[in-house]
Amino acid sequence: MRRFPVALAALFALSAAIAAQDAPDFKALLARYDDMLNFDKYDQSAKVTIVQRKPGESDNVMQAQYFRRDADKKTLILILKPEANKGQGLLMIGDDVTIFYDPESRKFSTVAKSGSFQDTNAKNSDFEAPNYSSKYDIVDAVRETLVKKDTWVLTLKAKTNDVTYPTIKLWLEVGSDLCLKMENYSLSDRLMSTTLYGKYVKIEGKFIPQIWRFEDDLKKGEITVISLESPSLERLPDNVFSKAFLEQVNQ
Amino acid sequence: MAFRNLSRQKRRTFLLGGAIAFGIMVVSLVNGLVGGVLANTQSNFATMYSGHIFAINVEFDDRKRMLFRVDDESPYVKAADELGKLYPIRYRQKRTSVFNNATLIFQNNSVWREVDGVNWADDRFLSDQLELVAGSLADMAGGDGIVLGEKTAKSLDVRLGERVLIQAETIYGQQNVIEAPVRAIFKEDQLASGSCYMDREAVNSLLNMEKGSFNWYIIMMRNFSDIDAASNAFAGILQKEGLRVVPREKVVGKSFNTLMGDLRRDKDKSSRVVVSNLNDQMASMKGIFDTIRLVSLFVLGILLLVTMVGLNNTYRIIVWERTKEIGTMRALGMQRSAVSRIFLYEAVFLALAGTLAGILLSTGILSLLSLWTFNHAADFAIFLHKGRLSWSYDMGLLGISVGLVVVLTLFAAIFPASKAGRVDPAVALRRVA
Repeated sequence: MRRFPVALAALFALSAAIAAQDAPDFKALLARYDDMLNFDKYDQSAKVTIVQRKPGESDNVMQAQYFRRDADKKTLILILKPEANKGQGLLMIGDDVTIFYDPESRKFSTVAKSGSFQDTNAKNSDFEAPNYSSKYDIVDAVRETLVKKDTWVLTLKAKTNDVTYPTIKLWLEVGSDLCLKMENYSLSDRLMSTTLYGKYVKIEGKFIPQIWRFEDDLKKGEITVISLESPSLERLPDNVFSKAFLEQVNQ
Repeated sequence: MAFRNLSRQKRRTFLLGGAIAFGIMVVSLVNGLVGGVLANTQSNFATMYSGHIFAINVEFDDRKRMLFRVDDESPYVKAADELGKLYPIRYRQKRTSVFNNATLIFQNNSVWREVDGVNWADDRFLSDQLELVAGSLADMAGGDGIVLGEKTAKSLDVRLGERVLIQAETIYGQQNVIEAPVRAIFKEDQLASGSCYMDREAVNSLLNMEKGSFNWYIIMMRNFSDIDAASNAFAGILQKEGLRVVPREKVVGKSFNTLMGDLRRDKDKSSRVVVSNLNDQMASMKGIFDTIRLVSLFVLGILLLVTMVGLNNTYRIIVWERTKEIGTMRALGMQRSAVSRIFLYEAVFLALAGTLAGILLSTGILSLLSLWTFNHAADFAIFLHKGRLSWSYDMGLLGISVGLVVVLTLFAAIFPASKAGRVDPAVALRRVA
């Protein structure tokens, strides 16, 4: 009988050892995920369709063309639809500069990167490469099943004050390292929004989310669904990431 | 005699005087309305900002992001004490405001509002100004409650005691959300709509600011006329207290948005204090009102010129009609200058009577308008006093209008009057015969 507790303890220790061997290096995992979303060697462009749903209102559909050059931290988004907003553009350069262009007044104005994109639940900063591993520390990691898929849930806390969401949770699929779900928390640790990634497309060995959905957890029922068409990694002309380009396409 | 002559041709006098009265009435109406709107705007802005003079400390972080915060109040307190020895101060206070506005959320409703963090224990002015329709401010000091305007509460469909979410960006750009019970609802008409109030520490927590800090220091003067001189003095005293203050000449006449734009473009990114006042914030509005007044004066000038042409012709006819009378007066020994003076006095009496009538008419109209309550004009609440128009004359401008009328009337009458004086009595009497 005295051998039973010893055996049980040994079994627990063995299980822990096996589990420890299964647990990945989470920092490396996060870095791999960042790398998947970072296209330093490529330019990225795609047509984006954004469907905004609010309770009691009809769907608001917007289309835009986006261009990204992660090597220079430049992103340009050009609104194609609806007609009322056609030609409006958002140019983001580096960490500090976010410029909005209004073709009607032909004026540029500075806006907040953390601000909402075109009155949707998406933020301007959501269209950029996130670089979680440089901006966040991993404070917790657990294994969880999400829609029958095995995932690692990483809880990230911002290293500095200059991020939009001080706390983020990522559900990264075991094996593929792709993010299936993300939760964004406020400074007061209140859940603000949930993003579900439905589909990825693989180009040149990189994965680009093709359909994803933002849910506003503060305003229940407000959902934004974003889908990409014709994603491309082809080199873009340098002048695309400029104010002049925004003015030119509107002429 | 001149007055009696005017009353002889009542209809003509009435028409001429009426034309002058109309012109003066129009100018006086504009003068009075602009004066009232300006005074109301000043008063409402002072109520909205709870002060006349504002000091804001601007810093830049490593990423050149603009931060507004003051952690050490002592230079401001000392400077305000010194200022109080020079100009009478009604009160002073520290506030933390969400400058980029916050989103208030209740269930599926949301509105975008300015949120001001107030020290309820000290801020008697706001407590006295808020006309509550529900709840009380008793639990606001040190608490987590929020005070909303009626319109805001209606938009959110929220009631007393229910909890709203307040979402805002911290001073560093992070997203933050706090929750607050609605403690009181105030009547929103008396202030420009769009402000909500919380305890200052609650807003500090929302903006990720230290306890005890604030982002603007506000002073309410006893006399509005002191604010420009007091602002200059306050800026100078703060400078002597060791703070780096933006020179007043770079601030005067500029709105907050313009000032912040200037600071962003400035290559110098050191911490600085901006001292501004209500006159600076209202400069563009005041400029528009001054322009309106000047345009009305210009319009009066045009109206009067047209009237004076008619007046000139009328006096020519009057002189011709009264040739016999003039001839009689000259034959009896009246000098030429005396004859001319009679006609000039008539013109002056006509001008003064028309002016007086015009001012009385405009005063009557303005008084009637000020009785009207504009219930559905919330967008214009800033220009009204408790929902009503006010009026006040700029006496200087009124004096100029009256002077202009008298001068132009004299000018119109001077040639016919001079001609009347030169009438030969013998010729005049022979013509009539």
